[in-house]
Amino acid sequence: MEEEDLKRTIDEFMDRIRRELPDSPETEDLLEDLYTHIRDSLNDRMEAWPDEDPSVLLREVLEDLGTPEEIAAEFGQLELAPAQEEGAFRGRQLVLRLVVAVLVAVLASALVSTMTNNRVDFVQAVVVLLAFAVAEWFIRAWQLSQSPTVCAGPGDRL
Amino acid sequence: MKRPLRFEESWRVELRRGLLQFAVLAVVGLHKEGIHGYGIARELRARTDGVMEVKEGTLYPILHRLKKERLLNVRAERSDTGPRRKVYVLTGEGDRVLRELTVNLRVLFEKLEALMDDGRGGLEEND
Repeated sequence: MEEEDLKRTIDEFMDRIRRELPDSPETEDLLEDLYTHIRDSLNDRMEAWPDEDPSVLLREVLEDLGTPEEIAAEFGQLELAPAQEEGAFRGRQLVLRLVVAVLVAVLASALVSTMTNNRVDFVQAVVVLLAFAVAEWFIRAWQLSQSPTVCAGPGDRL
Repeated sequence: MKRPLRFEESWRVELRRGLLQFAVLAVVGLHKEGIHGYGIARELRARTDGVMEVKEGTLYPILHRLKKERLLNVRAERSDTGPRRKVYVLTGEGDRVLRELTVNLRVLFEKLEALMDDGRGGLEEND
C-alpha cells in the first residue's frame, strides 16, 4: 500500500470523527492528537513487522483506536457535564443581577423622590435608572467580549 | 435501534471512565519529564494487562478534560517521524489530586474487599 493510500484512509477516518463532533477549537485539538497517535502507532508497528502489509497494520491501529462514534461519545460525555453546570450557574447569576438592578433602581428613585419632595417623579426616576443599568450591562458585555480569554494552565504552551 | 445497556454494562462504563481518569493521572505522574498520548496508551495497556479495555482514542477526550481541569499541562515536542507531539506533565494541582485520589482509592478498595469477603461468606452459608 502506498503512502498516499495510507494517508487517504487516515484522512477518511479523521473526517468521520470530525462529523461526529462540534466545530470548535477543542475538536481541532483532539483531531491533531488522534492523527499523531495514529502515525506513532503505525510507525511502531511497521518497525516491529516490516514484512506485513501496512494497510493491515493501519487497520489494526484504527481498531485499537476505537470507532469515531466511540471516541465522539467519550468526548461528549466528558464535555457535557461541566458545560451544563456552567450554563445553570450563569443563568442564576443573570437572574440575581437583574433582581439587584431593579431593587437598586427602585430604592434610589424612592430616596431621590422623597428628598426632593416629589419634584423628581418616582416613576420617571425608576425608568431613567433602569435605562442606565441596561446601558451599563451592554457596555460590560462588550468589554468582556473584547478581552482575551485565558483558559490554559500557567505552563501551557499550546 | 440501539439496545439499551443492561445495568451491569452501564455500571462498568461509568466505573471504567472514573478509574481511567485516575489511571491516566497515575501514568503521567510516573513520568516527571512528561509523556505523550501514545506512550500513555501503551503503558496503560502494559500495566493493566488490558483489564481496563481501553479504546486508545477515548484517552484523548480524558486528557483534554484533565487539561481543562488544570491537572495536566502540555508542551510541544518535535518528532523525527511526523508532526509535533504533545507531551503531558502533571501540574502541582494534578500531583495533589493524584495523591488524594490514591489514598481514597486504597481505603475504598480495602473496604470493598472486606465487604465482598463478608458477602462471599454469607453466600457460602446460604449454599
